[in-house]
Amino acid sequence: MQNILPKTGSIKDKVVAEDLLAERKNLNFDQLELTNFVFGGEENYKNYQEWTKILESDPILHNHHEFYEFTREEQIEHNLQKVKRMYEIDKKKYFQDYSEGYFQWYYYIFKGISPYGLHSTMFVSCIDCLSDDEQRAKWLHMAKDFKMLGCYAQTELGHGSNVTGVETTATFDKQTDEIIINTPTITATKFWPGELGKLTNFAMVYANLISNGKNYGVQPFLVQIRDFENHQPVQGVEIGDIGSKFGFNGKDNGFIIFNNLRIPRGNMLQRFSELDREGNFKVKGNQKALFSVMLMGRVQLINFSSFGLHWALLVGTRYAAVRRQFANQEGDKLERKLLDYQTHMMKYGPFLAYSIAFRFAVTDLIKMHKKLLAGLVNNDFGNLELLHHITSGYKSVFTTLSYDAIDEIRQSCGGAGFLSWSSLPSLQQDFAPNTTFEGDNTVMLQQAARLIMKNVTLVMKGKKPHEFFAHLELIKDLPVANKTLSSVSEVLELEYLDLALATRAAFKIRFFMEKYMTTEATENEKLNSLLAIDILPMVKAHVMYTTFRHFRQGIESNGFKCENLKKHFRNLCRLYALNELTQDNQSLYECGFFTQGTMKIISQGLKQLLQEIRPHMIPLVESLRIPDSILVSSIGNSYGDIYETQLEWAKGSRLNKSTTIKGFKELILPIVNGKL
Amino acid sequence: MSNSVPRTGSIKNKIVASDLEEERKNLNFDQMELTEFLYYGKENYAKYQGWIKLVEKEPILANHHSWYDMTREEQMECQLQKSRRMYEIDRKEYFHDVENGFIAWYNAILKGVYSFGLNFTMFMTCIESLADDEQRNQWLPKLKDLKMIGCYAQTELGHGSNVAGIETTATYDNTTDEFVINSPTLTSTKFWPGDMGKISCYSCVYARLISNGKDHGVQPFLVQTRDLATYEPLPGVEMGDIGPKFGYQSKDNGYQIYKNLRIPRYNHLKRFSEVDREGNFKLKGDQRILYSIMLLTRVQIISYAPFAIFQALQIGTRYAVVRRQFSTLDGTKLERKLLDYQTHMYKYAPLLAYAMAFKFSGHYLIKLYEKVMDGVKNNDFSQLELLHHLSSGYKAVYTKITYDAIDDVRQSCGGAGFLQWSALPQYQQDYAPNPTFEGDNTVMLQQCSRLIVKTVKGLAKGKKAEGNFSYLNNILGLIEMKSTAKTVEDVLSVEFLETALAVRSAFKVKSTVEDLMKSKASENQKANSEFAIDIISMSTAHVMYTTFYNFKNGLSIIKCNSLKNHLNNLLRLYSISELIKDNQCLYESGFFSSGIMNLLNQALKQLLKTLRPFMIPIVEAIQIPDVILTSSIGNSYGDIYETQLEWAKSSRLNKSTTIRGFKENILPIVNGKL
Ligand SMILES: Cc1cc2nc3c(=O)[nH]c(=O)nc-3n(C[C@H](O)[C@H](O)[C@H](O)COP(=O)(O)OP(=O)(O)OC[C@H]3O[C@@H](n4cnc5c(N)ncnc54)[C@H](O)[C@@H]3O)c2cc1C
Ligand SMILES: Cc1cc2nc3c(=O)[nH]c(=O)nc-3n(C[C@H](O)[C@H](O)[C@H](O)COP(=O)(O)OP(=O)(O)OC[C@H]3O[C@@H](n4cnc5c(N)ncnc54)[C@H](O)[C@@H]3O)c2cc1C
Repeated sequence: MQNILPKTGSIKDKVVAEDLLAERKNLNFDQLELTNFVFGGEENYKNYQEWTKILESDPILHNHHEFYEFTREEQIEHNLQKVKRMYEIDKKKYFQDYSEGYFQWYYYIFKGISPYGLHSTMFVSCIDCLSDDEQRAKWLHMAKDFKMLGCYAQTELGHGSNVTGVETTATFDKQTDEIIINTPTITATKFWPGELGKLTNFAMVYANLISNGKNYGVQPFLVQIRDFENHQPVQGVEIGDIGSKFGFNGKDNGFIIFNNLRIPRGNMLQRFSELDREGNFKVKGNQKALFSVMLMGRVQLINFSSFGLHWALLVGTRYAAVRRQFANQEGDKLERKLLDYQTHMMKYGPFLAYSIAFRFAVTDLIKMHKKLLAGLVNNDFGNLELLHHITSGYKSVFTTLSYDAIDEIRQSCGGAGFLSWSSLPSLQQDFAPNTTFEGDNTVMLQQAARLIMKNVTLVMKGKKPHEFFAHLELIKDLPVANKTLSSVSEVLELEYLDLALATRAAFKIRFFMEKYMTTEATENEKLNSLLAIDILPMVKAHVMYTTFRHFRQGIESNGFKCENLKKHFRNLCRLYALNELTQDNQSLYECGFFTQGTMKIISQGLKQLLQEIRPHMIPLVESLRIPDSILVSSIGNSYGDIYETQLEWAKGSRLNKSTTIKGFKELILPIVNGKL
Repeated sequence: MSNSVPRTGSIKNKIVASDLEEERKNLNFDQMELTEFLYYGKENYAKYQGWIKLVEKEPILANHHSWYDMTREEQMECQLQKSRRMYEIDRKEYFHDVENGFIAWYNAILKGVYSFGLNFTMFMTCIESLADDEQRNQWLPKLKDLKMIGCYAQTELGHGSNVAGIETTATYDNTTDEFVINSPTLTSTKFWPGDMGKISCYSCVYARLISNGKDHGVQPFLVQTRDLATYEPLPGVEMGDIGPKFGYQSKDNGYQIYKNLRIPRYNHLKRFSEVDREGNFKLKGDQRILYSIMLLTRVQIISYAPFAIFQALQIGTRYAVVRRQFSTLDGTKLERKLLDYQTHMYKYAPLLAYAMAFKFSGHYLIKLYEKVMDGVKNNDFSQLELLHHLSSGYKAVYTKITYDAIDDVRQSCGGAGFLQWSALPQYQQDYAPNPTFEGDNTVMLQQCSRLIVKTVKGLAKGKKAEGNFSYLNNILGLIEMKSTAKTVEDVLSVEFLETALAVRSAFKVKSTVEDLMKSKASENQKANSEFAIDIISMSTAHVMYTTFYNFKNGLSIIKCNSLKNHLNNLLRLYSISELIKDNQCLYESGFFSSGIMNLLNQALKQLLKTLRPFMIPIVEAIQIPDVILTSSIGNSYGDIYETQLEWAKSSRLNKSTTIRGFKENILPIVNGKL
């Protein structure tokens, strides 16, 4: 029995699936305008296109599906070849002048893991921001020119989140004017730094500075760990890779143990502190600037949360528009597209809304970050505290949501998503550490809570909060007057949704603050054991609200020209809000904002939006123009080829080099043949 | 600065971490009773221990951490070595007498996914249940003795969930008395079956039976695919492995394409239908039995879910009582144990509560399964529908929660959980297909909804609902109820929690069924477009309520009072977690009103605090020994650092000081030669 199938896609024959072609015809807005936006601006997108061209024309840089079944060693070797090639093509552009677009661009080329990603971000920024002028002049160009390859060695076996608990020591030896680096305990072993295992010759080591018998706390030191000439570990260190991981397997996360390794005193990074010849320690400049280094990494992760989620959607949505399963009607031979199941739209519609919401948030954030960096040069710390609050809160909420969403998209492609060829497994596995590194997500929410508490305290005292926290003023009006909804159109109003989300956040903040102020216990006990679980939902609700605000305001303030695009944005903004209000609404019932009957109207509003957005899913999602050569997906490619290539890649795969598997004939065949 | 750390554990020196030792002292109940309960009885547990002893003393069978560093080929070879050894040791015990249910343990014992897993589950089930007596007598002993190694070949490239859409053909040729198996289209390629790619020499192929020009629908056929002497593929079948995956790497999920492959007519599994020499097709027996066969695997998946959560929790909880981070204890430099952060307890304790709830539900379901099977033997199909309903609903809800739970535990171990040495990544990756195979979860919840709708419609006709459906008899009363809870104690009462969960489910059931009845759209549109998301939500709430019901009723078999007390607290925690996650209907129905949030919040905190000291004793009841666990952070010594570092040092990439490609590609740049 053959089922009727519309013409399926074929990469080989350059045939686009009929279903996908039909979906694309629904395009009714300026897709390029959206493309420029999701790539972070017209200029960035131009850059991407240029990079893409190079990638596609250069056989070494070209991505290949075989990568998915490489061993760790093969992946690393493959990526090192690419590094060399890029260096040959244009070292200035790829190693010396990269900017914030860097992250995604490397994702393009290296299928996830750039072998020198840590070097180019964390290590170089430390030198840039923590060295004094002389040090910077000496080291920065060496690092950028790949003479000095560095990693960022902060985490130890015993301490990750608690950086101040780091145990590595850097003891000043006055006689030789040197600093001696040691690993005094097993827990002081540096453990995790990326690129430490195999690829770098320097490490930015965070260690306790001890001078004249006194501990001055954790400071950064530039430590050479391998020989320039032969890349062998120097005397006094034991180094290696830490093993296989859930993901990130193309990265040589490493360990290092120091045994009386000596470095010159001048290798302590001394923009913010200094050690003189006598071993006297003094602090210099504004210590707040130290924070600013961490910000960049988080901004990138926030940025990537939108991009990574959108990437997964590109694969999932195309598959769902071509894959059909189960007949629409009894006896009907044409099956239903996955995306025409309401349940499937209920998965993907909101994900698209979240990915776009994150994009609006990050667009604002990047602007703020740039302003901050400009100010820092003149020692203006303006919004540092606010940025710290935003980046820690958004980093935590966005990375968790995006990780879960990518996982769900993988699952909703059924078996096909479970295969590495789909590209979804590696996307998920390589995205996974984002919830842990650059600040564990639980710890980040706690940090983000501080500024909320500070501002709500102002409100409680009758003072004005910072404008970013203006919604906190709502706590004075809780519970709010009942607003009985009479029609679906009311819940689709952005004004209503704004108030609902703001109220939800305000209620949770007040819920926590009341307990916080009335509970008699130490600060430690309140924040860690008595009220800790109230902090997380409060911060999350706050972040979801401010994200909505970025979205809503951003639709108007970013100068979009296409009216239809703005219409789609508004619908996605509504969908974002309604999905939030469907998932978590207890506070709104508690304070009387929601009443009996609201649920039905919200549910109708949600269904209506899903229906309205459905025809535009492919045009909207495909605005993330990732070419097939970079996507490398058996089910998410631009041809809607979901079968032919999948089977071809399967046939060509590693285990099929022979008809059986090693060990079978020796071990099991004798059993089958009754010889045992 | 060296922090003061209590004595940490060491596997090498056989020292238990003092923190872990302290926690174990809180044991105040009969742990063995719980252990035996978790393993479905004394006898099973004894059997399991027997296996463990064997694994401990047999070097080939012992698990080794280098497993985590192996390629797919190496993992498969390692498993084949183990299987061979088991066969040598006692083929009767490990192969001939193996029951379907033990496969999950084989997976645990062997690490990864057991090489012959599909042979001993799906393939064996097919032969046992779909073959007629003669066929069964002929084939069953062979497959149990590995003379015939089979896979279950249902899914195709084009069709997974929709089994009826399968395109492979089996055309009867009455001139030779054979079936001719063909893959007529690209999409008809068999794709996914485990053991198919490399290990098996037979496939139980689902194909359309075509005879005398007529299509008689999808039927199972026993198809030989490899030559038994050389193990090369037979002419007429092209086969292989389908490639690397998110997990399940040690399994050779495969593809097969058939081209005029001929099999004797006899190889059509013919307990329920038969083709005669002339090619006339006829059905035999009660086709409903066909249904019951698929159910076994689902019941197994359901009963495995709590075990999988426990496995992860055993690692996560041990780590969390030895790992300390931040000096947030007043008056001491000593850092706080992770598990003493309220946030961490709120991650782990509810997972324990869900695991326990699933466990009790699983027990109930297995009993029901046995009863249904007894009935089926006597042509009594009365409870088959209920079993189908429950097993599809529980399969969907439990596997989803379990998968997420393992993921959460992995993440809450920070970097250490991201490393394969912890064992958590592989648990997650190998568990991951559970929401997909044996019935995709979304599709399962759809199926689960049918009996709910039918029951409600029956009520209107005066038919009473029974067992864990009986709450629906009072559906109208429930949705009118108002909570009278005023204190934390009220909220913690089991009656209150039961009512709340029942009201929540009743409300969703009522409004969904009403919508379905009111709408004028076609059945297909209603189920797939208009109310699909309501149906899913309704099925889920119903599953959560019935799970509570099974949990509560199951407690009566527990003898130790302190244990019962803990289990009651877990029952409460399960319910409160549910009510915090999804409570909109309760406000809508008026059961909840302003102020309840605060009570639930306090009740939750109180439970977390009450349960905290007993986390280790309860979780450790699962008693998975270190040789099987193979975890750098979850071992029984509370050794969370020494072994982790040692395994890291010994790992694959450290065989040499640099890495292939560095000297060729990068060193010239460093040395300024490029
Ligand atoms: C892929 C990867 C790459 C990395 N690269 C680098 C690198 O290049 N350089 C480097 O120095 N490090 C690196 N790291 C380490 C990373 O920075 C740490 O993993 C991270 O800081 C978290 O620390 P931890 O793993 O020790 O977890 P822990 O701090 O031990 O946390 C474990 C658990 O405890 C919880 N917890 C901890 N403190 C609290 C609290 N106060 N309240 C509530 N809960 C708490 C956390 O939520 C978490 O669930 C990397 C890690 C990974 C996974
Ligand atoms: C590790 C692994 C091992 C396996 N082993 C075997 C084996 O041994 N033998 C074998 O025959 N098969 C095997 N399979 C295949 C497995 O049975 C299928 O993957 C499963 O049936 C789902 O089908 P699918 O992958 O084609 O997904 P699809 O059916 O295509 O589903 C894809 C998506 O569409 C959604 N969807 C589909 N229908 C509906 C609907 N009606 N309403 C709403 N949503 C819908 C699903 O929710 C899912 O998100 C295995 C799969 C895996 C991953």
